[in-house]
Amino acid sequence: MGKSLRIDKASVCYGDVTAVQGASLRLEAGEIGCLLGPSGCGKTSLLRAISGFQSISEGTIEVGETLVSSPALQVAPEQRRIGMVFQDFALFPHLSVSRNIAFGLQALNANDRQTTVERLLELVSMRDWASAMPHELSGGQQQRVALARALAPSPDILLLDEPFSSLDTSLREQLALEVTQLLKESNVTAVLVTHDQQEALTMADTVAVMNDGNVEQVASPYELYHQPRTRFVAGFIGQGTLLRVSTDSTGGAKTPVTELASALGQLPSSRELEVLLRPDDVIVDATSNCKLVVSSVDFRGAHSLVSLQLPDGQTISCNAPGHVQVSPGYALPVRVEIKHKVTFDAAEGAK
Amino acid sequence: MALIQTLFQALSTNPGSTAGVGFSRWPVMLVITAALLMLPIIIIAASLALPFSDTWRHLLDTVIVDYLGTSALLMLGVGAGTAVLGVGAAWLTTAYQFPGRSALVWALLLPMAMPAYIIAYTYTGLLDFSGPVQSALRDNFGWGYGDYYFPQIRSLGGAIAMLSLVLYPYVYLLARVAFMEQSASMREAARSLGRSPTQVFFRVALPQARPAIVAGVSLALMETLADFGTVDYFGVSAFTTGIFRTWYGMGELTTAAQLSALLMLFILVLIVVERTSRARMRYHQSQRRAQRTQLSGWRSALCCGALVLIVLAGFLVPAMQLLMWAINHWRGAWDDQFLQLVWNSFSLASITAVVCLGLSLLLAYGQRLSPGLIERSAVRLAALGYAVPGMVIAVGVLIPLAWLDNRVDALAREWFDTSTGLLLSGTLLALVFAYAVRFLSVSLQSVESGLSRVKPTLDDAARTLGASAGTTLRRVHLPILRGSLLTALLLVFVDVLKELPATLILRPFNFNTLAVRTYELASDERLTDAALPALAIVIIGLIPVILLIRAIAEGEKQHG
Repeated sequence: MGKSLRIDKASVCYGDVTAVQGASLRLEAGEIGCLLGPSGCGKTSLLRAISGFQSISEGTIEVGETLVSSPALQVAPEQRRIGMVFQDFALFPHLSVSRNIAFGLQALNANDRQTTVERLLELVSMRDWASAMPHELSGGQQQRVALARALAPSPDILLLDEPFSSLDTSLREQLALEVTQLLKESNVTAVLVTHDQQEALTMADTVAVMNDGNVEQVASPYELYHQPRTRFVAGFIGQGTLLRVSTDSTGGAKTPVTELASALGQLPSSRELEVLLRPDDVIVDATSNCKLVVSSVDFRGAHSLVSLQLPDGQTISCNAPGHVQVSPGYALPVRVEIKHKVTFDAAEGAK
Repeated sequence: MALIQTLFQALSTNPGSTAGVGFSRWPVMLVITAALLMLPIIIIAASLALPFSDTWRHLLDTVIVDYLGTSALLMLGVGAGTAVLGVGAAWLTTAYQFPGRSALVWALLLPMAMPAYIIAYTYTGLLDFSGPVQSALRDNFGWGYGDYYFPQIRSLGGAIAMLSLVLYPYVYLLARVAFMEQSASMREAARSLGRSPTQVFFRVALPQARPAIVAGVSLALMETLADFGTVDYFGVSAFTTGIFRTWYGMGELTTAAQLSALLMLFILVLIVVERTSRARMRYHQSQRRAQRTQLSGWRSALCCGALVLIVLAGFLVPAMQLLMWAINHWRGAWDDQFLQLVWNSFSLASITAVVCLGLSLLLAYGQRLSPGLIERSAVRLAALGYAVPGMVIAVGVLIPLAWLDNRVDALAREWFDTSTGLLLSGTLLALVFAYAVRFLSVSLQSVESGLSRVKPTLDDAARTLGASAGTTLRRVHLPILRGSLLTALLLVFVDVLKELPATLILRPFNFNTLAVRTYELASDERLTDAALPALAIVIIGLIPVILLIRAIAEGEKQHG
């Protein structure tokens, strides 16, 4: 059974460089959290602070009711009961699969150790490979052994550092689902670090989006996609366009496309705004009077991402069904339906 | 063993485990270790600040110019000799295909097993007036003494030839890699622009390989300056002979140290040259390698013959001669004393190998756990001894130990009215310390390269699974590093067994090793009796060469 994780305003510094600035995140026991952001955003530094390899210069980190990190305290990694799955899996090359899994079980007697190893081999479906050496395994198999090894000592928290990045793209999606299920079965609290938003949205209960050392937003995947609080989150998660719109004194959008103005409805009056428009907000509808000129088409099989040009020169994108055959220059009839209205003040930052 | 224990203790108390983030004991430990190992070198350098004695002035007026000139000529000669032999052998074996090539690739390394002083004794026995070669000439042509010209082997020229024959493999090894890494298209471009194969060598291949060649020659020259056995036996007045005479003959330790400091300036230049050349060496792993040109007819015979000649002269002839002497005269050398020699040499070499391994683990692991500029500099400085001649280190060890002994003795006289005599000087401890200074880098390199292949995430993985740093060393690193650690032990073992000058100066009274006994017997002109211990040294010296050959064979297999 996992424990809760509380990170409160934690900062990580390397000399003069601040890698993480006052990051906060709370996970309840059994929840899967994710640190998501582009490379260099500080997510790996924060992960190393949780695991105890990195000291923090401000704030606190607590596991369950126990303080494990503060500027004055750094509990050694081996005393934290925090398991970790590494990007390169880091399997011990001189030990077989079962002895890799048994590595963290020194405290148990031989019998219990054997039982635990067998249970985990079963859990990750690697029973037939118990005596194989790591170099004999495929990437996906190594990944599963790494997971089993980290889960074996039943850690309070499990950390996964870009666990799928060294695997084939085709393998990733399937494994992400498998691993999520395994984590849920084991009821462990997990923190996943990734730069792949798809992975984050698929696996996590709670996602912390990080940028440039700051946590921009902590929310559920659904909320992140539909209610991004900052421009960075809006741009980083999913596709979409930030459309510049000015409003009149009554709060109506000043745009030549009436369809758009009515979809946007009531907005703050007399402002310069940016409105987030997702491709799935713009729907192909043959009955619509609103026709927009296609500027480019990105055909993806089941659907196409079509860029449409507005009369004022801005472009928006539309998720068209794959069988709709269009080419640049064509006037596509569309309907706009905005279920989650996200606007930013063009002059400042977030609304 | 105590060292390894301290290491484990240091590791098991992790600074982060309680409250102290921040202060770590590693930098302190590494700096202290490095300072200890640097002590002899620092003392030699510091001797320049001492007043120069009358002996110094006397030496300055008489022999120092001689030492400088002779050492310079020796370096020039050996530099040219090793460059020609090493580059030639490397080029022929990488650029051409001819019968026997693959065997010659490794056979050309055999002379590394032959210490210069031993090849010098052997050739003296072979080529002296009473030796088999001149005797045969006289018998065949009916000449008598003075009727013919024969080059004198015991001369500067002879020393250059001997040193070149056993030191060229340094150049060969580095040049060979450089030539192999060169891309085929570059050479083909030169050919398509109208250059002959010879011009391609001089204008394209050689300039590109120059950093590697310079690095190899620098290493060979460091060994040349460190050599004592050869120049001493040939009566050549090089620096090491001068230092030995000043200390042994005149008892002038300070002047010997000052002479050593002068020699270190030469070494310093070589270190800088070697380091900068190495930094300029480039490796292009991914490019298409040049194919070897097939030689046939007289060209292939000439090529093969020349290389066989090098191997014959550098290893096979002297080894055979030693073997014959040893077989014919083994009764003269084989006695209880010989077994004692073997025991002395082996135990000394084993102790040193273990000490060096312990120190290497401490330094390499400390640097891994606590990476930083101070730690890195300390480790690099600790390994500097490899470039310093054994003779110089011996003098540098002798001075502080003599000082300490005198102090302790004086105190004992003052307090207890007894004399303690010499406690440390002339003990095995002094000798092992000097060896550790000289050979630490050999084992450190092996440990470091092994450790660098262990991914840092393995350390982290072990830690998250509840293992402390000490447990990680025991359960993860040591098993993975087993091969590297064994290599480290072996290389130091062999180096100690071959070492002559430091042993000669620092050995306890009446304590003999194989190398020293060989030197003594040869100095007494009992060359045939010296053959057995010399042969033992050569055979043991073959072990690291075989390791090297196996590593190269694996590389060849990969490159096809």
